[in-house]
Amino acid sequence: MNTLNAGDSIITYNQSESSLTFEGSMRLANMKEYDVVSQFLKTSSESSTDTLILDLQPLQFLNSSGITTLSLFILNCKKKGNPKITVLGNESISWQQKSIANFKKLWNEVEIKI
Amino acid sequence: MLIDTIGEFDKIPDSIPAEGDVAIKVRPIDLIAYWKRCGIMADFAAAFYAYTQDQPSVQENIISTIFNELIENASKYSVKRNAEVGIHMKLYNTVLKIQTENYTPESHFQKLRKHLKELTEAKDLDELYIKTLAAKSDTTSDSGIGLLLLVKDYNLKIGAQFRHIEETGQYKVTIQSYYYIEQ
Repeated sequence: MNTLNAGDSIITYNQSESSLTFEGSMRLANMKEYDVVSQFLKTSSESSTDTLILDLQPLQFLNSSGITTLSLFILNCKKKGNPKITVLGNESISWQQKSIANFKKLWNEVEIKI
Repeated sequence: MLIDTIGEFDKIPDSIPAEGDVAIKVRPIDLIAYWKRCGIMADFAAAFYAYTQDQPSVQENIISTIFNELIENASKYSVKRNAEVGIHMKLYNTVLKIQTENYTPESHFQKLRKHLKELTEAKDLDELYIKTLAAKSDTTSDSGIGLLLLVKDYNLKIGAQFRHIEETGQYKVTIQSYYYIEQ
């Protein structure tokens, strides 16, 4: 397992399950500060299987720069055609209930489970 | 002094008495230097208003998200020194009005005004969201979707007023947002 600390959040990549789990509160200052997250997502996706799971269930907060970072990652996967993305959300966390469906609007093949 | 107003500014004017009236002033440099303070302030504001609601944990996450985006924007695009960011929150029964005030240089004023006009006049917010993200370059430092997500996903009503300050060449930006608390 590889992990990345980003502010008050931890991202864990589990290669055997081809999943990235986001925990805590991710509210970094701007897109530049999210570069390290983008790089971690990119590296993880390169060693994942055909489908990559983005597990956001334990993520209490994600600011708009973070949503943009995940969105650009999904758009990049769409451009390459792989990996396919499954997003796991938590309906008891309001921002997820309201905004998580946006990822599917970027790429129709994204599967949302909430 | 030139004044320009966009969107639903003064939808609920200040002359109407409110409950839960909270005002905070902070220097942008104190937020830029310690960014986590934006989230700390957002969580405070959210806890203050949410605990009186029927679904406190639901409202706490929503109000914190809204406040955080507004304070992040106000501090990021402010002149950094000798200026303040003001946040004024008022509760009108089931409507939470959050007003931010900050001073911004001319260069950002033009960009923000264009963005807010596009946002308040858009017919299809999903289309604007997709278009905005598709146009992002790798080098940009702004997400550009913070206010857009609040209007699109949280049904926030938003208005803005810009006042040109001739002495400094800066603009005073007042953004009013209205969150209709879901019952």
